[in-house]
Amino acid sequence: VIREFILVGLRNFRTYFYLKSCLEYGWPCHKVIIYGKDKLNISNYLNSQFILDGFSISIDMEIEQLLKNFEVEYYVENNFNKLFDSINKEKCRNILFSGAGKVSHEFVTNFQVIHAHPGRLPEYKGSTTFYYSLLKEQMLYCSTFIMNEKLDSGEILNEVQVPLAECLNIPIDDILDPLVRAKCVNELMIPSPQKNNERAGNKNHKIYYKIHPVLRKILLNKLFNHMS
Amino acid sequence: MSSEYKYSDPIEQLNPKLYSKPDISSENFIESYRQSRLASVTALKLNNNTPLDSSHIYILSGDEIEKSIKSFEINRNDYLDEKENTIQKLISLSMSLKLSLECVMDFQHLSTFLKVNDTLLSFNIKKHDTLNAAIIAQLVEFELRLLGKLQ
Repeated sequence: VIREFILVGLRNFRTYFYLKSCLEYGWPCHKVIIYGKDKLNISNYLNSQFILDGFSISIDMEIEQLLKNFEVEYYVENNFNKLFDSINKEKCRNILFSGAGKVSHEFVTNFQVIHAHPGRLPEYKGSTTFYYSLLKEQMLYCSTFIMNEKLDSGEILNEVQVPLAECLNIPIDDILDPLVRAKCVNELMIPSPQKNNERAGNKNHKIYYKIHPVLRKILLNKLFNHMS
Repeated sequence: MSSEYKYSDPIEQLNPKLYSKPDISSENFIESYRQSRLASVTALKLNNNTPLDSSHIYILSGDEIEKSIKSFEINRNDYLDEKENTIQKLISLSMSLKLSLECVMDFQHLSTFLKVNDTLLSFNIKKHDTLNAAIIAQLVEFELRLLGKLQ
């Protein structure tokens, strides 16, 4: 059980969905640290609600307005690892990570850095894994794990799986990716007593690399043209 | 918005972020990919009556395929120099992936197969010797058949 955590992230849809979940589902967020200079443009999705297998998030305010509900520290630094000295002063040692890039040895040895990876682990490590699993198995997976220095290799905490049929008409990169991550973290933060997180171990795994655009488009056509 | 398939363009191939955030919003994206590949096959086969003999191509083992995929995906720039040795490496990887895909559908293999063929087709086709041209045409025709079944 995660009693409290610091949310550390960039201004992206994943951070937005995590913040909304803190408010709407009661995640025990102690503090928020926002780093980097990027802005989040939500105009394409403003006043939209997205539902994934019973888990819903609405986009109804700008991220800066949303952040007013939290104790927040801002850093313009784009490299998360350079924030170590600042974050190391915190008593709370759990970090929920919604940033990008590799996390340093200092962080993974001094904190429990929790990351949601949109793929089943250890089978689907690497990049764009949700495209691969949707194409291969018609399933979307997400796993939370405690990061270590190896790629997508830390202790696995929980997993969700959602059939492709539940993902139809949800914009895949902007929304579906952060939505499944928020759903997975939600099941970690607020575990359902009926939920059985045990899963059959599968030793077959490999690293995935950025999927080719033609395969991306074939999957998008499956998600959006299902009624035509 | 351009509906042209740009991934086998020699200039675009030099962009290290070519495959990172692709613009696939055009409804005609798959069709422009198909037309681009068909045009390449036609060009490769032009005046080329070489009997297809791929017996000289080194076929990679399973482990070698995985290592070559990693090398190609991480160090793609090392495969853009259009030297004979590089072309042979790419043809060997593409042919090995084709043989693997004939046995079992592996989407990582298919993704890399498409990228390797993008790179091969970005080279000046007239510079390929006729046997290489015939083999690349065969690889691309297989790719088109496989993609056709997926849609």
